[in-house]
Order: sequence, then C-alpha cells, then structure tokens
Amino acid sequence: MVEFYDYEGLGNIIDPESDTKQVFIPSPPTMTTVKTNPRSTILYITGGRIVEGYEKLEELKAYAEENKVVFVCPSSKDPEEVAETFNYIQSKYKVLNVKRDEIAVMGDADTMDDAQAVVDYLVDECDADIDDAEEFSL
Amino acid sequence: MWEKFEGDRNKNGIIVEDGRMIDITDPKWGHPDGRDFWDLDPKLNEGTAMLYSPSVPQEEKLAAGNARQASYMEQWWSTEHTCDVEKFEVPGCEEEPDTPVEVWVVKPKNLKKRKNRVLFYVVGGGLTGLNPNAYPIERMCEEHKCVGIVPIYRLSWQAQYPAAINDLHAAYKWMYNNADELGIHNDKVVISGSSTGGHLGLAAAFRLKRYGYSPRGIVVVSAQTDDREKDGDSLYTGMWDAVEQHDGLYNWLGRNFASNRVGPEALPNHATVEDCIGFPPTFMYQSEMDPDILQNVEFYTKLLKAHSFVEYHVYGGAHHSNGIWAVIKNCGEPNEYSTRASISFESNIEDCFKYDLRRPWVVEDYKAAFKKKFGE
Repeated sequence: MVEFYDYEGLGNIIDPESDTKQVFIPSPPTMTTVKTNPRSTILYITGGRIVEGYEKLEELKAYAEENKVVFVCPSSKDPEEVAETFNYIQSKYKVLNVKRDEIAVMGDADTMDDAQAVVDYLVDECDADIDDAEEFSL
Repeated sequence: MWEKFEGDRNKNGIIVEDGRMIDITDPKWGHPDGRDFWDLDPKLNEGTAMLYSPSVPQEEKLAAGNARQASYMEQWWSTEHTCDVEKFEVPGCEEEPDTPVEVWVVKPKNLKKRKNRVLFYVVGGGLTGLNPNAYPIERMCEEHKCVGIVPIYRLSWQAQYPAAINDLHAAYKWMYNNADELGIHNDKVVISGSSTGGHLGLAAAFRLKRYGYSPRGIVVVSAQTDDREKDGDSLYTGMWDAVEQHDGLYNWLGRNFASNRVGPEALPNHATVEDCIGFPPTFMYQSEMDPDILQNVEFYTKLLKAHSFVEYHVYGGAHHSNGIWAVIKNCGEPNEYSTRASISFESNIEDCFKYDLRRPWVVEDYKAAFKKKFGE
C-alpha cells in the first residue's frame, strides 16, 4: 500500500508502507512496534503538480513502492519555501522513516533550473549535504 | 637507575628512583592482536629524540631538523598522489601577523563542484617532525569526500609555543575567509589529527573559540592533553613514554613547561570547565599507556561538565603507536583489530559532517544562569 497525504500544508508525500517489527524495551519492560529499513527521499520539485488527480500519480506510487523511496513534493518551487519542506524532513525523519542524509533533489525537464536553485539554497542556507539536482523520469 | 634507560640517549640525566617506573616493553602487556612492533629499539628513534633532548645544542637541532624536514618534503612532492595537492603561503594570524604560514590544500577527485566539506588535518610528530607521508590524509579526504587543509606549522626546534598554535590559527582563518575560492563550506570543518596533531587540534580549538570560529567537530587520536605529570600516570617506559612526552613538551614550552600560567591553547587540559563551555563536539581516541592518560580522562570530564558533545574511546593493552592504530595513523599492518577502531573513528568524522552536533544553546544557557545568579 502507498499512502498519499498532505504534510503541514507545504505539499504532498507519496509514502510506501514501511517495514515494521516488534521490539522489546528492557526498562521498563515494554513491547512496541517500530518502523525499520528507513527509505531514501526524492525531493521532487514540480511547482505543485503532484496533487490528487495528477495523471501520473499511480505510476509514481508504483515507482515509490518498487524502489522503496519516498517522494516529498512541495507545492512551491521557491527555494526559501522548499527549505521549510527540507527542515520538515530533517525534524520528522524518524516518523517518516526516511534517511535524513539521503535526499535527492529532482525535477522535471521544465523545472530543472528551479530544482538546482533549491539545491544551491539548501546547501548555502540549510546545512544540507546534497548533490546537484537530477531530472526525474519514470 | 631503571635498567631500560641504560644507553638510551634520550634518558640521559633523567632520574628514576626505585619503584617509580613500570617496564611495559614486553609484548605481554599488549592486546594480542596489537602486539606487532610493540617495542622498538630506542636507537631507531634517536633522530627524533635528539630534536627535543635538552642536552643537544639548538644549532645542532636546527641543522638536523631542517635536513630531516627537507627529506620528508622531498618524499612527499616526489610521490605520485591520488589527490591534487596545492601549496599556498597565507598571512599570519592576528597574534603574529608578520609570519606567513605554508598551507596545503588537498583535493580528491570525488568532490562536488562547490561547498565541499573540509578536513582540517594536523600532522603529528611530537612537535619535532612533520611527516605528511606517514598519515592517511589523502585516503581520508577521498573517503569523506572533503577538501583537506594541512597547515605546515612550526616545530619546537624552530619556534616555541605559541608559534604552532598561531600557524594553525592563520591557516584556519585563511581557509574560512577564502571558502568560495577553495570550493568549501566554511561551516563544515572537522579538525582531525594524531598525537601532536590531536594535541594541537584540540589546543587550537580553544584559540579558534576565542576568535569566534566554530568547527563542526574534532576527532583526534592519541592527543597529548597535558604537560603536568600526576602521581599514578606517566610511570611506564616503552614506546612514546612519559620521558619522551616530557622532553617533547619541555622543548616546546621552555620555561612555561608544567606551568599553570599558560592556558588550554598550550595544552587542552589546562582548561577550566568554564573554558570548555561552547567547545566543539569532540571525539577522543586514546591508549591505555598514553603517558597522560589520566589527564586525558580529566579533560574529557571537563567537556562533559561543560555539556559539550563528547565521546572518549580508550583502548586497553595499547600504547601510543601500536597496532590498534594501524589504519587510523598508518602504524603497522592493518588487521581486524585496527580496522574495528578505524571504522569507529571514521564514522565519528562522518557524523560531524552529516549532523550538526554543536550545542550553541549551552553558551546561552550559561549566560542566562550567570545573569540570574549575579545580575546584569
């Protein structure tokens, strides 16, 4: 199953179901369920194209499930606003079950300049350790 | 007189009364996987020992030291490198502006186009030799995908404290101010080094803190942290023993040796807890038989009390240069034992790059607490 949901009004996330396991907490003795095998993230810069009803949404979901990757799709392509999404991932990476240091910034052919501007901003202003933007294709 | 000191030039004039030293030169003292080259003939070390021996005239030290440095440098520049290495002459720091410093910039092939991480690597060598060929600088830059900044600081027979600290300060300042030209991120700098490299890295961090610089972390191995000996440590004889450390630091500090009048910019454990507030995240790797092991522990506790992010790893059955460090500082042939230590060491460096472990709020909390207690 792949979930599609809004995050804090900043955009949408395509989130394949995480692996889980039961773990025992020794002190105090407790059984709890944790998510395992954190996924890498694609920060997908499209300018808000990825919404409910997007024509390729099912293909994206299938890609996410098959490649065990989470798409985080901000509504904005303004670097400063995308930075809020980046900070959201950094603070919620445990809940999202993603690797906070494995984020690839990607765009479509017509948003590659925006995606690279996002990379530059995140590297300069947000302590990000990320590579140059790449074009995403299904 | 302790029997092991007989015929050893470096121990001339050193008095050791009965029962005051422990001879650890027998490999039985070592961890079974780290006993290779547990002890070496002191004669092999005479070239180094004479450079800090109080009984050798200064002119003799200068001549021998310069010749040895020239051979190290010739070896370095004639060797084929896996990284691009460029030499710069940079201006002196505020405290010695008229003394330029040589700095090397090491760039591996796997860098990003800009804003790269930095490994500020301080080469070790007892403040008597600076041999870059002996340390895995290029391998580390490649593994961590970072630019290496290597200050060629002055050694004890060239200039005493604070010359080396001034040189590191100058190199750091130049790197910080030329970040764009160097293709680096000046807020992603990890200081590393071994032995004297660790000592100077930690000590220079106090200087850098005084000038408002905040390295991302400090990951060091076998750092000397104190020149003041204590009852209960500094009592063994063997590889890089208490006497060698004593003489090495004595040569560097001169009349300021074992003095409380110099602070942590000389030796880190001269710091008070207050000095340590706001100190960068620190990871220390030490050996059981490091001559100042107790002072190392003490320095660690000061960082703890100052609420810095700090880890302290001490290896039993290990001395300053035995097999446990075969990967981290190229001494001996790597095996599973030394690889284990290296994995931990390298992952600490990586963590400093990946996560911001600094705790700026601690400084603010202390200021607030101070104000509450004593008023504005």
